[in-house]
Amino acid sequence: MIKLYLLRTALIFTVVFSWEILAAGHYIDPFYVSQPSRIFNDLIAFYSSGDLVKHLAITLKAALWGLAIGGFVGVAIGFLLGRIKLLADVLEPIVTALYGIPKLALAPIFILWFGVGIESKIFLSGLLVFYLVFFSTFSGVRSVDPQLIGAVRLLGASRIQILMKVIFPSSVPWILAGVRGGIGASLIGAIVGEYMGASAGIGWMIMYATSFFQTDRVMSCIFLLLLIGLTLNLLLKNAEQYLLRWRPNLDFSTN
Amino acid sequence: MVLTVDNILLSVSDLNKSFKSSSGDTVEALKNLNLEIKRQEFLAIVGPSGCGKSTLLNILAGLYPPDSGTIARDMADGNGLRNIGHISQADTLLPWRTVVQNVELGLELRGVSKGRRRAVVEKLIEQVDLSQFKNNYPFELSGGMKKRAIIIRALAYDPDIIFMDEPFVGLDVQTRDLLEEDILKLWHETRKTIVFVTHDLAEAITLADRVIIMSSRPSTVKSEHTIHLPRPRSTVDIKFTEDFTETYKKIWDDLSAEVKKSRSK
Repeated sequence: MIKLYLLRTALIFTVVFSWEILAAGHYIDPFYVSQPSRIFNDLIAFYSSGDLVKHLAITLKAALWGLAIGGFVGVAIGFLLGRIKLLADVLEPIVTALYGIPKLALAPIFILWFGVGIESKIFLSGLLVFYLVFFSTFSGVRSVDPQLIGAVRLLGASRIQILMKVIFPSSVPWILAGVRGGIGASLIGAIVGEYMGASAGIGWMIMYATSFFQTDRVMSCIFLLLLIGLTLNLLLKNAEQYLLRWRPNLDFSTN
Repeated sequence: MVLTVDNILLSVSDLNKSFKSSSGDTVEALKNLNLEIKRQEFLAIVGPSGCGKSTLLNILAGLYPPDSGTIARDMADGNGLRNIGHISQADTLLPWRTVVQNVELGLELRGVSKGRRRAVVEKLIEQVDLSQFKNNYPFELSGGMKKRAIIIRALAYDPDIIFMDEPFVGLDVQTRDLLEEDILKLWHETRKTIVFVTHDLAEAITLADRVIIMSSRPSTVKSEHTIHLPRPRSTVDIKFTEDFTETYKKIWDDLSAEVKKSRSK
């Protein structure tokens, strides 16, 4: 484990260090790709001015609301369609067909509908999350072991009890898999929404900085997005380890 | 229909059931079957493979209705669901619940408070030597331990009758012997009515008060044998007694004729 950790750190350090040296010697043009030291300085300036927190808060708010709403609706619709056959037979092909539309391409019309405020970003973000969580939940609900349902029914369970005590817990791993994809999607939704029309946010900042050739700032923003994604995934991983502690640990790594 | 005869828990008469096979033919599973189950008895139902033992058990358990015939029960119907226990050969422990949480499920579904159900459950867990594993998840248990948990899960909520549908299929012989011991011990302590379906005649004789032999399809009760072996029985030692061998021989003649018949079908 320690060895892996060291190797990984060494690799990252080598890449960043090479980048720094190559840019300093103008083997690669820092005008286009920036330079680690410049990014670091920019991050400090960005933070000191108070802008970093302001823009980050706006983007995070849009992404997290999108994740929460899209996730909730995805789970709810997934359960309804997963349990009510008629509903699934009618709606599932329609939902799948709509899924075929590249949703990011719809961003301009969402701006038209919901304005340049945070609502349009939440909607886009939520829509992306919804699809991932919905399909995952739907498959999960449909793959519950019928023998477990039968056995618990014979123990005296009502329909509601079967839903709460068998179908829901059995679907949790599937829901979590949907949420894992949803984390990335929620950030994409928020950022792309900001590209299309906004007056603040990390996405807006990237567009703004790019138009003034401030690649240092663009890279700072990308670094921040990397950190957010990393943090959210780490939180999810911890949640998973707790919620799925009943599953055998399928870690076949040899170290 | 309510029974009036004393000491009879469940009585079926003229039961018929047929299924449509995938090729569209009608398969008669049960034909004019009559059976009485006494309170607190250990009844074993033995028959050749595919003779409709499970069908009978599922009808008795109320999983689906017969095509015709009457079933009379002298049991309380609670919450529209009968208070029965059912154990199959499948592993039906909920994988996201610990042993304790699995065993208490029946009580939990009946709204029994946590304190009261823990008291019942802990005692049962101790009786089958699972105390050390009570907070473990099913994936950490052996096949035999899972089966013990499933058995006490069916006992925990005090059902009127427990149906066991070839519960020990797929387990190794040693595990099976021990589980049979457990079943007998628990039966002695609780005196639950048990209906035990198996294709293994030795198992049936070892456990039961009464063995019913079913004919090959369309099934009906071919013969009925009261087992006079003394109790308490040791599931291993009893197989070496003369009484056991004699009983076995007598019933086997009956059964083997049916097995041959069902083979030629």
